[in-house]
Amino acid sequence: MTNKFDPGKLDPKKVAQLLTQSTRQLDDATLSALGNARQNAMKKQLVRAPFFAPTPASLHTSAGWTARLLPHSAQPWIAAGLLAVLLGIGAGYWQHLEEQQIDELDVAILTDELPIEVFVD
Amino acid sequence: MIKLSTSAELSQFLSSVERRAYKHAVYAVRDNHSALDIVQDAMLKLAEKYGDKPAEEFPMLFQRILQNTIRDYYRRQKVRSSWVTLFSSLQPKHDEEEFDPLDILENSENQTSSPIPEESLQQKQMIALIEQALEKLPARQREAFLLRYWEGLDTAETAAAMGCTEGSVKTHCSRAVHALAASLKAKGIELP
Repeated sequence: MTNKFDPGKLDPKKVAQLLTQSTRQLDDATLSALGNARQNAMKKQLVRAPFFAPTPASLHTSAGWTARLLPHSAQPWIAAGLLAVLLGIGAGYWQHLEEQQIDELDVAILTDELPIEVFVD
Repeated sequence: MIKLSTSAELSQFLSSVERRAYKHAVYAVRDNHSALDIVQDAMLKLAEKYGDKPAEEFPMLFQRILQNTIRDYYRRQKVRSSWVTLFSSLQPKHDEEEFDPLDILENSENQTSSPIPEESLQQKQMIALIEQALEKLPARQREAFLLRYWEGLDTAETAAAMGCTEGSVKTHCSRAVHALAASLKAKGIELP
């Protein structure tokens, strides 16, 4: 059986035009519901504020540059705090190690038991 | 440098696409209320997860989300209908008592659109027949046809939105055009 039908006669663009016209026939209740849906979605829009960039509000305050450089949500504050604590612990540990080495050297000098490396340059 | 979208851009995009998205959903699920829910879900997902993406990416992201939301609806319906079938087989039938002709009248009133004077009756009928033909298409063919020819996505974008290859998109589109043309011809419709 041969298919004599010619699909080339159907122009998808014409179908699309008619479909677009059909969107103009939507009733008011549907349009209103779609508008509400859009408003609800807009309220949930994800906005990632830059980390340390000035906020529009901070630009108008008299707090100056320090206020502009401060992060403006709790999360960056927590991250910055943790980083500061880690840096503090690292610096303390490094200082403790250095003091310990100096103490050992002092004891070695006092007991006249300096290792040969001390004299080798 | 990537330019992130603003609220105004997202709002503008959503208002430009909402009617077509609703129609997409109606053709797919054949229920106006469910279609509205689907569009709302898709809008929320776009805004919540991709609201800060560049505005140029919105059309494809939204179409992908919309198609996935429609698929989720199908899955939920399938599960629900299997439970309903199970329970209804256990309960006695009361079809005569539940039937109310006013329900049909109400539904048909809800579905009719407000008349537009300048639009001819003939054109309305033609649109209705095209929509019926679209609803009868297999889901993937309808999806490909609408994305490609109505939303104006190219083959690669359509493939990305549908999660298939470009070859599949071409096949689906070709079959959809054939099926639509055959369906419209059978109803004696010739597009001007």
